[in-house]
Amino acid sequence: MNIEDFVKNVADLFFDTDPSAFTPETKFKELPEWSSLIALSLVAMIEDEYGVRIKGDDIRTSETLLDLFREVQSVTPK
Amino acid sequence: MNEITISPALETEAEEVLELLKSTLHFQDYTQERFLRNFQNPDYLRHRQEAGACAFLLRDRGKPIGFTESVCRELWLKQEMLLACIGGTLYLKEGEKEALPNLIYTLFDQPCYNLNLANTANKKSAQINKILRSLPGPPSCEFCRFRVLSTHSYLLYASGKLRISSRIPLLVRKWASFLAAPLFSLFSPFRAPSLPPEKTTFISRQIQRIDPDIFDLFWEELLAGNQGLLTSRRTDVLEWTFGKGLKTGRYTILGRFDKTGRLQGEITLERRRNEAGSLYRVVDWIALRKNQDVLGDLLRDAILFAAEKKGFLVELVGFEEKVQPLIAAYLTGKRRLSHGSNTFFVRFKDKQLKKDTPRLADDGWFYGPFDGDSCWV
Repeated sequence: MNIEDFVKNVADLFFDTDPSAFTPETKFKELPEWSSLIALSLVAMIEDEYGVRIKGDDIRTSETLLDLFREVQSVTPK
Repeated sequence: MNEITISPALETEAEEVLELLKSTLHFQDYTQERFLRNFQNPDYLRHRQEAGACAFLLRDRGKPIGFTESVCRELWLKQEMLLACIGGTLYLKEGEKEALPNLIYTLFDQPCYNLNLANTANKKSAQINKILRSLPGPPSCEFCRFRVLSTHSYLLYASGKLRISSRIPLLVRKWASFLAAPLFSLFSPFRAPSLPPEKTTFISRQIQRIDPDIFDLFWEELLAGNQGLLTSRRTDVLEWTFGKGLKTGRYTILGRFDKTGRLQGEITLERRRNEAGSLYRVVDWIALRKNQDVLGDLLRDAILFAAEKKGFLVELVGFEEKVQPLIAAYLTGKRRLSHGSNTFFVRFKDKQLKKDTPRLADDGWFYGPFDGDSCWV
């Protein structure tokens, strides 16, 4: 599990946002395309790819993709 | 400390839920009675409620910001009982984007549910189901089969649905429909061929109430012969779903009986009134051993009933591919549904269960509106 793949997986959930806009420092909730459906897609993607279910609160408290990645890491079984 | 909390909705929270839903135009029709139905599940579900709730309220620092509810459906995989969650109302206040997963997953993760079903009502719920990797229903769910009984009324109904004509005053549309009807009547689907003749000698009768003497035996026989998935037609389920509507005339059940009085099949119609008159929608249609002759006769009965009641349209969505030619013989019109609405989705929580369950489009499931949520309120 690495941050590069994670950022790419998140970028794939967005249709209209240029992939180059995504870096570990991206404040993803400030992107114009951010929506409740993308929030749901994010949870579904993390469950599929990393086998863990994050909560809405985890997304809420994460500001950047790196924050979210760390959140996922912290709940992923070693 | 979390500011967002989600908890099972309580009967005492009806006013809060109503206030929340009425804050948007979309849910102006939502009533207290509808909310309270979450707590009036049939008896067979009561013991399961210990393991899961039917509705949830999402709060931010105590203030309601979201609500979701479900309908439970009892399904049988051969002779094993499963419980399905059918998504109902879903509302989230604007700006609370991150809370959608909380609402959806909390409902779907209730331990009592083995699978989730959906009969999508709009584009957004279709998107949600795709995100959740739900399996779509058979292709038949993407189309509506129909038979026009009154060209004039159908044109009036259609003119109210089309964006281009819906703003024209009703009186003008009425006259235009009246004048255009003779011309349209010359063409399909308005000029439908006559109905196929009766194929069985079973007796046709309207069923006035959910009578255990009729339905218990019917259900026993349906279940005993079940080789795939079957949604429960137990007396208490039917009573909960249709009982009240039978009294008000919203639902009509027509049955075919053998000489000893045993029910061989039934068709349930829902009447929907609009400016053009009454539209009848098939919400349940089933026969013992999937007998196609009985099924055909039931469709015939439904069309004759609707015509007698001056209905202008009979329509039906879904069911397996094998039975589509039969449907087409009675309901000759066909139109695609917008947004893939009325597409059924199913999501299994258990991978083994998913593997064991026949594919939706296969012979295993006589998959119709009763399996979705189209007839729950």
